[in-house]
Amino acid sequence: MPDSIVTFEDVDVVYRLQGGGETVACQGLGFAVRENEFVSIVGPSGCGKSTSLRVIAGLQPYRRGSVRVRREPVGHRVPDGLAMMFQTPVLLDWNSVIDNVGLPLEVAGLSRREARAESRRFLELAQLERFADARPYELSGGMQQRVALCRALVSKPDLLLMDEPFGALDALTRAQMGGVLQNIWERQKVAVVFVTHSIREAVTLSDRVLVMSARPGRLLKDVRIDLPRPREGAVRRMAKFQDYVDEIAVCLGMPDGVE
Amino acid sequence: MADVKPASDRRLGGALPAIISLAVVIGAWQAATTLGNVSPALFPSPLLTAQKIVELSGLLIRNTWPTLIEAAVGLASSVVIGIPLGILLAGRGPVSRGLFPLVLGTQNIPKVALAPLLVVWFGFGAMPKFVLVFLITFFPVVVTTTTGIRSVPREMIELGAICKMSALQRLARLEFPYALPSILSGVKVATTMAIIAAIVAEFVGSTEGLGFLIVQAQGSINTPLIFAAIVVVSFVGFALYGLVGMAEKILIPWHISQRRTHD
Repeated sequence: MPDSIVTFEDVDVVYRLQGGGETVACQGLGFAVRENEFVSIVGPSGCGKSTSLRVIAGLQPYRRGSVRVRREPVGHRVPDGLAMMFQTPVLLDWNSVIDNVGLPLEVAGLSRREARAESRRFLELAQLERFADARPYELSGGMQQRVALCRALVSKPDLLLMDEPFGALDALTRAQMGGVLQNIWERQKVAVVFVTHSIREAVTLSDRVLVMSARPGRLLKDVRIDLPRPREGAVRRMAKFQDYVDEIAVCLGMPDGVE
Repeated sequence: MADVKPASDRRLGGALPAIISLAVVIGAWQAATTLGNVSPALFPSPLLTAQKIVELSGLLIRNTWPTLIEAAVGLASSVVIGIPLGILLAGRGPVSRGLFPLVLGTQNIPKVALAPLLVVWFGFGAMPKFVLVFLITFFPVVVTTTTGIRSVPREMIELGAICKMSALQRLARLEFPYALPSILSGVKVATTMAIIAAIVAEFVGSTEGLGFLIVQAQGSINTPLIFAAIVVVSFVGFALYGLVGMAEKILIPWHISQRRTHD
């Protein structure tokens, strides 16, 4: 696969436990993500979904196999052109919203003025320009995650890792965030690896859904989602949409489906 | 914002309980001295103490400055030396592990016991006071700095790693701002200790300052002057503490402890 941006081959990840012993988070894990592709990972809690993301980001060492980003083996260094969104927004309360968005640019050496000009464009895309000078704690949870999304995209990464970024939001806000993400993803070319608990969310957003087993996590199924975009109400009511959801649910041991 | 009550009302409401509790203590003190039939030469009433303060204001003010300067300079050196030291100790490498027992060890020496030694070494001037204030106040600054920096959430450190921050950028943009509320609370604790340290250092050997005045008044059994000096000392403590409180409002307006006063 010449155009793969992420490649996992037969990867084991082992955590050493406090007080001796170890636990295997992932075993023989293998998959690939192509450039500009949206891939979700679903699976039961503790199956190593988040761990896989952390391995890609160079934050988590792995024991066996090979992990490559753009053919470069991932070591203890964070690969170039990578951004990450966490389960919480992780915004800096001591900076304004716009300076939170511009953080990666300033760290990379841009002046605050240049960083703000660039950040403002992304705040507009996320409909947050009114809050540029507010402090993060003055925003709602959904708005905070939108700021975090802007910060993740502002450095124009070609690989975006999202670790259950909407997990803490209510259902309505979550659906809106999904819309914002689809919107931005269709404009900005970026490969996304998206970890989620929600099968419907995964099917709505993804080109492919990777289904992982309980710990030790391994790949159970690689489901290609062949649905037209944008995936709004009409698409989500299609029988084919529900078929994908059921297929994944059955694979996860939920034969009666979900939600 | 469309608040029903203006902020000034709330501020008065905030100060009112403090005023009441202070008034109760002073009232009890006044009652004890007038009803208890105690000699004012041994236990002066608040009224007499207040009279003394007014009467001897020149003397008191003249001796307040040295004490204030000793406490402030000692405290400032604690901040200037304690924060970098706390940052060094927050690391998990050999530097931190080598330094930590040393810093902890200094805390097991009763530093007040060093005051006579400091007079032998540095004489009767301001220097031994600076040193004692520093020795007594740097520890809370170091500990709160270390704790604050070590408390930065893992995800925030990972955000720094993803952005490829250098160690210095991580310190300046994430760790130090995150630790600042904790550091300032350490400085607040250090403030009250600084006044105590300055007074004790003056007891041991000095030619000026409020501690010196208290020892002098003791020599002539001038209890009202001792009381007057103690009241002034506590005001100096209040003032220094208030100064750090103001620094908090300026430096960490974003912190949860400060937000209420900022809407």
